[in-house]
This record gives sequence, C-alpha cells and structure tokens, in this order.
Amino acid sequence: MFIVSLGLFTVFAYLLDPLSDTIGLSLLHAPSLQALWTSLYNNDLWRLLAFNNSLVLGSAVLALALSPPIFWASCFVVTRYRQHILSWVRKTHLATWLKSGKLIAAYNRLGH
Amino acid sequence: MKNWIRWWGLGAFICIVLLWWLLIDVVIKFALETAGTEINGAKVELASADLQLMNAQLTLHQLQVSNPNVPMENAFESSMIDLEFDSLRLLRRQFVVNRMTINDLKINTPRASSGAIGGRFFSKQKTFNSDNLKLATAIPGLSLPDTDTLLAEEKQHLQNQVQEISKNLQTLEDQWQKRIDELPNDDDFKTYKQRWQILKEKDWMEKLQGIRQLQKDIDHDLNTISSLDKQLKKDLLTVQQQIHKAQQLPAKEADRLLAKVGLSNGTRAISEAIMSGQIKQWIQQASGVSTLANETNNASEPAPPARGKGQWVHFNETQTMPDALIRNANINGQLALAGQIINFQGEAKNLSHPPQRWHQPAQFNLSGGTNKGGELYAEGILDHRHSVNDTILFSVKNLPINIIKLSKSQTLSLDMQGGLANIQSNFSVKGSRIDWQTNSQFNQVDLKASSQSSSKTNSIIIDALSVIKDFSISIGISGTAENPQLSFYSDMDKLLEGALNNEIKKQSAGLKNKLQKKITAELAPQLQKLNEQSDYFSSLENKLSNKQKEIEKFSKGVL
Repeated sequence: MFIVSLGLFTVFAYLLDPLSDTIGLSLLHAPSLQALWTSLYNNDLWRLLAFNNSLVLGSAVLALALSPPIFWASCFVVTRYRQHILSWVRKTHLATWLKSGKLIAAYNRLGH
Repeated sequence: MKNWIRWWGLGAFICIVLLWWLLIDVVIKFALETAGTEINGAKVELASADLQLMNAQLTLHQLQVSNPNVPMENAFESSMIDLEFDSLRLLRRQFVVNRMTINDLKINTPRASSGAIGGRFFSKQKTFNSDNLKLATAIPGLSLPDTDTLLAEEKQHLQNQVQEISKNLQTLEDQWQKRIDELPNDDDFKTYKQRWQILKEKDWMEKLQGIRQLQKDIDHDLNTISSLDKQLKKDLLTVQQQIHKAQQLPAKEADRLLAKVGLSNGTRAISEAIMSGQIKQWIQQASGVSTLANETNNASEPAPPARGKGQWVHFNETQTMPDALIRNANINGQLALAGQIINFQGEAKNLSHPPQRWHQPAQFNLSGGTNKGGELYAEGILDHRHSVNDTILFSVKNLPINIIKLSKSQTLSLDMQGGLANIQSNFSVKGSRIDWQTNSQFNQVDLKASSQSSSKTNSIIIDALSVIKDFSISIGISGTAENPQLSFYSDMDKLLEGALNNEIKKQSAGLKNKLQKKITAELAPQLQKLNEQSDYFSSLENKLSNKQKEIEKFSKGVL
C-alpha cells in the first residue's frame, strides 16, 4: 500500500508542482516571516529538512492545508463505500482472485 | 500489532544500511562523474571514491577531466585527491572542504579515448570560439605564371589604357585644329588691304580713325596668336606627359601584373601561416582550462529551476557559506612543457560555488622547476563575487627545450629541438572582455623544418629557418569569447621575408622583363599612332610662328 501510495502521490505532487512552488516562494519571501525563516535557517535540523526550498515548503503547507477536508471527505467516502459497495466488490472475480493470491496472504501474515 | 518490534522491518532496515555502506562509494563515483561531466561539458571520469564518515574524509582516485575543446586530451588529471570536509555542514547541504590535497596533478595529458559527449543530453557549446580567430593560413607561393596567359587576360585592359591616352590627345588635337582654323587667313588679309585702300581716299580725320581701327584689329590677331602660343606651350607639356605615360605603360603594367600574381609583397605573415594550426591548438588547450575555472566559479544568474526541483531561498547566516567551498588546497603535480617535465607545487584558496556567497575571491599560486634549471611560476585571482574579474599570470624562465612542435602541417612541419624558452603570459577577464597576451623569447634554438612538398617557397623557408638561433613570438587575444581578435607577431618573419624577397626579386625581375617586352609588342601599333599624334603638336609651334610673322609683315607692309 505504501509503495502504491508513494508512486501515486509522486505523480500527483508533480502535477501540483507549479502551485506548490508558488506557495513556497511567496511564504519564503513574505516580509513578516523573514525573522522566522532566518532563525530556522541558522538551525542545522531545519536546514536538513530543506525548509528553504520553495517546493518542500509549498508542498508541506499545501498538504497540511488540504489534510482536514481530505480526511473528512475520505471518512465520508469510505463509510459510504463500506455500506453500499464493499459487499458487491467482494463478490467480483477480481477481488476473489486477489484474495486467493500469495501476495495478499504474505501481506496479511506480516501485518499480524 | 502485539509486537513492539517488527523483526522483518528491522531486517529490511539493516539490509538498506548495509547496502548503503557497501554502495556509497559507487554512488559517490557515479554522482561526481555525472555532475562533473555536466559542469565540464566533456567526460569526467573517476577510477574510485572512498568515503570515511568517521574522519569526514573523501578520497578520489585517478580523476580525469577531459578538455571539452580538445576531447582527446584531459584538461587535467590527478592520481589522488584527498578532501577533509566539515561533516556538520553536510546537514545544511553545504559541502565545505577545510583541507584538500591534490596529488600528481597533470595538465593537458593525452587520453586513450575521446572525452567528447556530443549528442548526449547535457553536451555543451564551447564558450570560447577559437574558430573565429583570424589567422593567416597560406604560405605565399613563388610559382611563376605564364606570361601569354597573363597578357591574354589583361589585353583589353592594356588597350583601354592606350586608347584613353589616344583619346586625350585626339581631344587636344581637335581643339587646336579649331583654333588654327579661326586664325587670320588670306581672305582676312585681302579684307585688311581693301579697308586700307578705302581709307587712303578718305579725309585725314576719317583716315586717322580707320587706321586706328585697322591697327587695333591686327593687334588683336597678334595677341590671339601670342595667347595661343602660351596655351600651346602648356598643351605641349600635357602631350609630353601623355606620351611619357604611354612609353612607361609596358613597365608599369608589368609591375601591376606581378603584384596581381603575388610577387610584389605579402610575405609578412609567414610564421603565422606556418604555426597557425599549433597556435589554435594552444589556444584551445588554454581556453579549456580557463573555461573550466570559469564554470566552477560562474557568477552568472542561476538558471531557472527545473520542474520538481524547486528554488532554494537563502537567508542571513551567522557566517554566510556557499553551497560548496574549498578553503585550502595543496597541489603538487607535473606540467609537460617543451618536452620537459616541470614539477610544481602550490596552493589554491577559497574556491567557492556560488562565489557570490563567499567573501573572498578564489586564488592560486604555483611554482616549480625542472632538474635542468627551468623555472615555472603562476598565480591568479578569480573574482566572480560581483562581476567576473580574473587575472592570471604565468611565466617560464630559462626552460631548456627538449622539443616544441611549432607546426605539424604536412606542407611544412616545424620542430624546435633544443634551446631556452622564456615565456610571460598575462590573462585577464573583466566582464565579458578577454585580454590575453603571451610573449615568448627563444634563444639558442635548433629549428628542424621539413616538407613533403617540393615547392621552391618551402625549400627557401626551410633553409632560412635552419639558420635562426634566436627569435620571439607574441600572441595576443582580445575581445569577447564569441568574437576574439588575435594579434600575432614574430621577428622570425623578418628573416623569412628577407630570404623570400631575394628569390621573389630574382624571379620577378626576369618575369617583368619578359612581360614588358610582350606588352610593348602588343601595344606597338597604338603607341606608333600616339607618336604620330604628338608630331602634330610639334608642327603647331611652327604654324603659329609663321602666322605671327605673316601678320607682322603685313602690318609693316600696309601701315
């Protein structure tokens, strides 16, 4: 799941690059934040986190800003999915084939 | 979820750490080769890299940096480079080398395979375009042209020259014919006599007035003749000049034709033509090293960020540091020059990238010598903090020459075997302007020239070169990197010019004589006509004199 998510969100982040870059640059150049950035800039840990890269900062801020609505939207969608669609999906040939596969079995064993 | 530790996960983590530990040297080697090649524009190769995190030390073995302008040569190579870096600065993504040792540095060494990366995704254009240098490349020839062919091509031009003279004389002749026709003739004399006869019968008052008028008319005729006499003297001078011009035409045209086929002068740039190929190669080698220095200290505006990379924004630091800095580098190595190996050592300081974020300019100094007594010294400041402001001084004193190839051309190859070299070179870049001046003095040299061609010119040059013992060469380049202007001077040219000019004089004298005779023969009928035209003007003097005597006689006889 982690690997699939990594690949998926890398593509998603690439599409949002221009937006993330703009947000990051505007924050890094904001006059009111200069004192904060300067103090962080002189700290090894924050430098290691590369906060002064427009894309890193912009992506982080965009992700944080979008996480609450996405969380609530996800909860809503997953609940509805479980109520109305999951039973139908479990009966499909694809789901039956995947569940009987060795990959899923190995994953389930590692999880316990 | 009952286990605090997932052992499979820990195993995977240990495997990753082990792989990192085993592969980090290979990763560094690959990263340095890729980034170095991108910066250099030609292959950068590394035999191996050895990272020791505990000592914060990186050792590079057998680094080769190709010259992008001469792909079959390395701009430099080193057998081992030791770097002691500041490991804490790595957390800030800054590569700060406190001490660097470059061992066995060699400049402009031959490569086994080409270092060109043409066609690769980051292959670069040359920043210094030596192809734009204007160098004399052709040695003047001494082959004699065929006089008949030469005259056939120039026949019309020669005839036009004579026709022009003839036309001028004809115009003068026509003018004079008109003037002669307007002078008093027998009819006019008869009229004067009739007027006198009529006056004789008039009273004394009318007679006196009539005589005065008659005298006045005759005086007018005499004055006209007198003024024509003066004009004739002037025109005779013009005629003489035109005839002289016509007589000199064969000699003058022979000279012009000799000049046209390159036998009059144009031998000044012989040494430049002989050494042009080698000069370009030296300039390309030197520009390869300087281009690399400029790339690593580039002060130009950063390129727009690639997608997915973002932009790095920098803020004030307690101590501002660049992304990469070499505080101090000790260098030792060898420089192959004039067939001698010069062992040198020196140091470089404050090599930074980007240079704007470090408070001091990069600088270096090197000194060394050979076992036989030659000395090498070089120093430079590469200041790219605001705008480019580089100065480099390079000097070689009393370097015994083993061999210098001054020309590898098949037309005329030239080797300097033995002698002493003194070279002084000053290089500066201010903004986009380059100024590079190299003055070289060679003494007690032994020049060996050879040619596969059997041309007379080459054999004269080879003989002349064999007696040269001392000479100097000055090469200067100024202007921009895209449009450099070259100046070349060698006192060798005077000697070569003298030797060639003697031969040219000998050959051209014979050719001139031959041409002159043929031109004279070719123009003989027209020149004869010109002589006849000039005879007319000689006869005019007598005509005018006779006319004047005639009028005076009439005047005395009548009045």
